Amino acid sequence: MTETALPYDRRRTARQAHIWLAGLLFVISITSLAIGASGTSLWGALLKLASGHPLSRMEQVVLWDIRLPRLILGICVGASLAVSGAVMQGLFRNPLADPGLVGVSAGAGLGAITAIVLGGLLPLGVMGVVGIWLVPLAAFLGGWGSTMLLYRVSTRRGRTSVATMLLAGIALGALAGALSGILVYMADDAQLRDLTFWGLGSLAGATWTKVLVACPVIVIAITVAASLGNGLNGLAFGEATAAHMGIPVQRVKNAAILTVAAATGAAVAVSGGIGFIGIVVPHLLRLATGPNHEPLLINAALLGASLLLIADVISRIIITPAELPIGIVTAILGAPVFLWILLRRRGLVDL
Amino acid sequence: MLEAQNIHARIGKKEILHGIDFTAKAGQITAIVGPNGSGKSTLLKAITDEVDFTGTVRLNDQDTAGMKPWELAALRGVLPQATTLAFPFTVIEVVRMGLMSGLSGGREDIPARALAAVGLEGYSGRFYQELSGGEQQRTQLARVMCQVWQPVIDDAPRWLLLDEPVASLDIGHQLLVMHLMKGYAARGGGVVAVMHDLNLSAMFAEHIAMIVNGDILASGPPDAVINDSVLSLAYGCDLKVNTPPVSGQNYVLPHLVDDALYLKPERTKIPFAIFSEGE
Repeated sequence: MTETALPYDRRRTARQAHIWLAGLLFVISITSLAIGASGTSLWGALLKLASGHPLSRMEQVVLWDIRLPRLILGICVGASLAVSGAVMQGLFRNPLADPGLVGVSAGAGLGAITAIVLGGLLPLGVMGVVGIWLVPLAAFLGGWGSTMLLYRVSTRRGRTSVATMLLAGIALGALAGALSGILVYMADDAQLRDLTFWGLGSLAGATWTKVLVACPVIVIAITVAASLGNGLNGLAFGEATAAHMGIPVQRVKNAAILTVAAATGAAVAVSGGIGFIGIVVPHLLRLATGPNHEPLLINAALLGASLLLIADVISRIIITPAELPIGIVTAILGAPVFLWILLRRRGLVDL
Repeated sequence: MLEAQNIHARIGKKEILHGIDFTAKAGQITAIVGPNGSGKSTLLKAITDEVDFTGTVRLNDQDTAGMKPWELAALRGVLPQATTLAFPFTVIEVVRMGLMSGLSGGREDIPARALAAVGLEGYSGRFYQELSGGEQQRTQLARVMCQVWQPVIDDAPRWLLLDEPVASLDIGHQLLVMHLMKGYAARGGGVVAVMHDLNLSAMFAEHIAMIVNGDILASGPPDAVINDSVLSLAYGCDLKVNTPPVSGQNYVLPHLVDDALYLKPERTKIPFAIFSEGE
């Protein structure tokens, strides 16, 4: 039998991309630490540390209490947005699925708002247990509920209707928005302040507390997601065929839904709604290294983190000393890419 | 041995299969034939647990209901009628999925050999979504073959369950794929195929089951099924079975006499059981 010469193996490209993207993330992380409104120099501070001088109070606050938590939160949120986008696209068998577009973020947002406004009504005992985790927990529940609902509505006999998914997503988003509106209406002044800060969709309010609250959840969710590669590859063939390939379909689906909900919930809880990372990142990676989910999920985490940090740097320097909400930057950069995907492959959304 | 006993299956509210008993032996090709909508695909889907059904399915003496997906995948490959992919995988990437589970894992030489076996050498880097229907079907067959590449492992046969494997193929590739199935069976594996083409079934299958209106009308070696009376009854038109002098194999052609090609009204009330062996 003749040996078939392969044109080129995308698996190798995809694995090499791990290294390139990790390098990119490192460079951007340093840049992000070095750039800011205050003019504090990262290099100056490092020199001081190296020569044994103590840092000034200013340098400590800016680098340690402002830029570093912001960097870490940015990495976690960017990675979680991109990975939950990729997982959701695999689950729904469609490159246009994205938590932000189909109402999952809105559901998570509703959960967060509910927690902020009605959290005070909880018995003290419960508050003592959940504490600072209340908002992300509620966001997770909101995201989980809306993902489940969406999947139930749009999937019949293992096939997901794209049209139903997008339209149900719009309805779900509208409903979550309306309920959120009622809660905002009920909120008192202090809660409104919290809501406004939360809703800015920005990394500006990053603190170590937020890092502590969101990042462990995100890290766990991404780790679980990274193990779903094979399962999602199988699901690309349809649920029945995936099962015949030996994949425990129901388990993969449940894990995927929980992962999306946890990652989206945690990201939304600390950063509000940041759109388009979840669509653009997996799509670019699929173009570059193919749709195999095993390397794709890891690459998506790396590239998502990098892109969000770039957007964050842009949002910080474009109108210094003020800041543009990062959601605006990602939308301006991401929406045209989304339209380009649509126009390039019209067949995808045969409504 | 593949045994399906007392299979009742329904799709929606309609009962499609009314208590079918079906058996296939390893080492031969078993063809499931029948008119459109008779339930032949549904029978295969019940065997592979894709539709709700009652009854038992045993594969190599094991009840499939109690088996895990990866245990089943190691024992049988299933080819659906058509497969659409959600993402732009290349041909070789699709075929390699066959290595994902089952007992062929790690044998990186198999995908290229499977592609060659279905006549798709040189297609590795092509995008699956850009292939023709027949090429897509052969790509999927290569993937399924990858999954159960060795027909027998530890004295236990492995199975190819194929839903219309040659329906979208040209005549040359039909023969290629039928020969592939024949070879798999000859080396001890089991092959069950839902077939439309009666002549190919008669030519290659050792055992044929004719399904009509959700029951088995006739089953047995080709002679017992591919004959004038069974076919005319099953398909509701006059069909004549002949044997060419070269091979002596049964073949059937519709013949145009008066209105013989129109479906007969009595097709709906066929007296079952009269042709089934052992009933």
